[in-house]
Amino acid sequence: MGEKFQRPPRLPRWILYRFLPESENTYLGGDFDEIYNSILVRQGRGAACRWYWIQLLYWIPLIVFHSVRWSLTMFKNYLKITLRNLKRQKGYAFINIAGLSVGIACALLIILVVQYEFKYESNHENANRIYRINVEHTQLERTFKSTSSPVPLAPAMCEEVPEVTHFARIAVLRQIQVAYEDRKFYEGNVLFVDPGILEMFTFPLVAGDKTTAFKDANSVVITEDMATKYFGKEDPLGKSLLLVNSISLKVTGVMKNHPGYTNIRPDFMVPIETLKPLVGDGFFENWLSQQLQSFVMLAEDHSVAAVEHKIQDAFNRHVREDDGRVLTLDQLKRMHLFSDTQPTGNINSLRILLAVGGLILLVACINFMNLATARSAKRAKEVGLRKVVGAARQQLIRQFIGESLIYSAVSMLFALVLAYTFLPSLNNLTGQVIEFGDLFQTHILAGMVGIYILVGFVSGSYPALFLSAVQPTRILRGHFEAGTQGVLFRKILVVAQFAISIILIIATMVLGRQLNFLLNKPLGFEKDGIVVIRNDRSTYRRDLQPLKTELLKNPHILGVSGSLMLPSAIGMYNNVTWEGATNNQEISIMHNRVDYDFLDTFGIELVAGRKFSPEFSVDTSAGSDESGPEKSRSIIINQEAARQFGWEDPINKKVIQIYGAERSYFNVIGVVKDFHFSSLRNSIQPLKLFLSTDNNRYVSVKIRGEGLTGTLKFIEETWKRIFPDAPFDYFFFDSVFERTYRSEASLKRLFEYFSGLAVFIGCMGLLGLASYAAERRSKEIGIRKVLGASSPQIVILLSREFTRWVVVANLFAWPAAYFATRSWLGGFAYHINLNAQLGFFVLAGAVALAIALLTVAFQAIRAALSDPVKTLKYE
Amino acid sequence: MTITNYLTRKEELILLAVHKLGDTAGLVKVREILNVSTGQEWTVGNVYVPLDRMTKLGYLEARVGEPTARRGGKAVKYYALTRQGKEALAELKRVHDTMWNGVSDPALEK
Repeated sequence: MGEKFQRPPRLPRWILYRFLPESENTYLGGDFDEIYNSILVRQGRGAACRWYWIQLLYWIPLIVFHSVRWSLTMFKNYLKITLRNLKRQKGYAFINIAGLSVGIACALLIILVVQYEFKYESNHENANRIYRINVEHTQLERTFKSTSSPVPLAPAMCEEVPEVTHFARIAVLRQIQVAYEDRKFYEGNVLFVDPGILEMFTFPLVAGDKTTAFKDANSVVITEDMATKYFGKEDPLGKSLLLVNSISLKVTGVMKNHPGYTNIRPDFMVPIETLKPLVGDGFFENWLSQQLQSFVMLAEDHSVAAVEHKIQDAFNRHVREDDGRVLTLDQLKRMHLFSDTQPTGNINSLRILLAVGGLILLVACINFMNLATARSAKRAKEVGLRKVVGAARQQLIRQFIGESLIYSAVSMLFALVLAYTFLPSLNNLTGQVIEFGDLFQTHILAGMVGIYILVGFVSGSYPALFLSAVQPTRILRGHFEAGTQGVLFRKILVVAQFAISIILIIATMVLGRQLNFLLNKPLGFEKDGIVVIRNDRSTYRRDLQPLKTELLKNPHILGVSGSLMLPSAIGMYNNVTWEGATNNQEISIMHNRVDYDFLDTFGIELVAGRKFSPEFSVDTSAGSDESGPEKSRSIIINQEAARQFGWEDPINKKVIQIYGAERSYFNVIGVVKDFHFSSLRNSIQPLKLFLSTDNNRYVSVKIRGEGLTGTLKFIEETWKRIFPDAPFDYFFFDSVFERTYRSEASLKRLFEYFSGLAVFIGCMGLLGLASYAAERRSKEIGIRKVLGASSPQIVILLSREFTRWVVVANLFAWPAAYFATRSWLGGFAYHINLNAQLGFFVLAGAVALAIALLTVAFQAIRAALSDPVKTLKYE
Repeated sequence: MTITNYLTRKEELILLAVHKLGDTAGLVKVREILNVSTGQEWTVGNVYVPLDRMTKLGYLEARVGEPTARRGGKAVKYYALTRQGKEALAELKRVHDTMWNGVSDPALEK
């Protein structure tokens, strides 16, 4: 066979060589070439080529499997060593795994919280094609943003803008009475909607047909919960519900209960035409005010900006030229967190939480690195021996990384158990309904694998690189002073760890102070001892006088007042100009309709003029809004309004309300001290109050603290006697405020837990380090004791080092915490003065120091009390 | 040798082939023998993987020969049985013989 050698085709050969074991590629490559050539000679090039390709196909899976199986054999050895170490050093392993597990569990829980917030509205299949039309109105450099829009807007847009394929309007009537036979309740989530909503949004029906559900005006689709509430076990389909004692609705569908992660949660959906008898025909043609939320669905693949533009153009054709309202689109999917207009979630809180999760994970990793390097003396001998018998550095690095991957795998398992255990308490805390199963979604699983690998590699990196570099001769001669090499690095790590813990402690304290401040700041009105009874549409125009008279007969009742809005949440505004305004300047002013007793009931202070009083006929007689300047209606304004109008003496000055071309005049009869009528995130705005005795959406009853149950019962009985057909639905006024700051409160509680955990993990690490230091210095301690050192001296000696680190950590933590908390506080118009809270910074440092000292002292005392004979006799 | 360490049938055949070939036991020759005696086409991978595994387990040892022109200037890797390999083979033969001893069924004869 003297033929000339032929090279096999280039491509399969190149591929093959990628899959040859490095040490073998010449021999094996040669084997392939030889067989190829012999086939070539006997059967020709085609057959040889085919053979080569087929070999390749068989070769790759075989060799991959073979090499993986072989490296597993080596891995078995590493695993064995790791487990032996784990068993031999139980305490150390416990500290390591506990720290890592808690860290990973925190990270997992935070990921769950965050993913839940991002999941909002994802139950709607078309969530990325549905947009809400918001309205922005800028006046005098103040922009009012509203999620509501004019009633006729959505249908007009659907007709005039080709990209809009569907529309659905949602009008909510809060607290509306619903009845079935003798079951009567006030319902907060009765939504009046366009029939298209069932096609646009995803509300799965368990009974009824979504194409015919809204065929008739007087129909209603209810949730499963409501079906049970009103009909029990009966079949709800075809039953009739009575709305506000007058409108009969036939149940045509039952929808599944809504998941927790949606803000659109109708309990009842009623076709919007049904509203006509309640609101009048004018409601459906009113382009001037924002009455309900409008949603539109766009055909796929349209630039939102372009559609936004077209919608604006179409809108401008329907309103006056100088209308000035700007329409914007909010994608349903992004509404919860990223709405420019009114996000229901708080993306900043989520960012803060994610940062905290990352920091805690970092603290846990640092722990692991610290302990591993500190323990390196023990491991150094093993490394030396492995090197002597021929381990390459690569292999050692792989071994240590592998080891930390094993630790983090075990920790991951514990972390999952921890997360599972604490998820219900977390749900309680945040009010979310997260399920543990949410973890097992592809992107979250990918994140978990990411965390796992990150933790494994980060925490294994330092020991791997550091230990694998040691000289075997030095180790085996016994010259290896572990500790000395890594000292500086370890110090930095401990300082970083404590700095993070201190930052978290400070943040927790500042958060708590701010929340207390928000809840306890004098608001300018009283909030304690006030019972508020809700009135619904069917009853709010009734005369309250009989009720007032009856209630005030009870000595425990101090005052009764009806008003359109409560002093804590005044949210209506209009435009006014005023007597003496230059160039007819206009400003927006909030307003509320109140009765005679409003100021007294809520203890709002009058600083000038007088209150509304039945003795002055002018207060009521000029009842209509369209009265001229000579016959103007009385109003009371706040100090801020007087300031913005530039009035020294506001009494008897005129405020002119502008509504289109119409003007109505108001006469100022009094000025109240500024009170906070909206959240403390905003500063106080101008306000006007006017008298109206038939707009009593809320009836507020001021009561004495004692005999509360009796008083409540009395109020209920009196209410039922005077308004027998209205439910008695009440709440305590102060509960409103806790609700207002709920997101801050839950953030604060989360911080409390997580900063506690960060400190805990940090201390675990410190405990490990301290016990290691005590062990390493046991001989030194023995000699010192023999030479006459007292136990306290030794405790101080051992603690001093750690104390210094924690003190240094403070220096880094303070400025970082200062800037972080300052920017958070900046989001509140009224907040605590951070500079006055610097005591907290010192306190946080002291707390961290105290905890660290306690941890270290425990070990130090044990070392100090040890018998020197035992530590020294080895020599 | 414990029961779990018994070689597979494939490995046994390869070990035998290496033994038969003596000094010339390279992968190509081993594969030829297997092809001929089993009447089937063995892929390179199917030969190499057991060879490598048995080398790592210590049944075989490898020796590198001279590069030759017909292999494109690449050397051959020759395999030979170690003592452990021979013992394993002997053990397999003993077990094999013992198991077959006394089996006389005409249906099993070709």
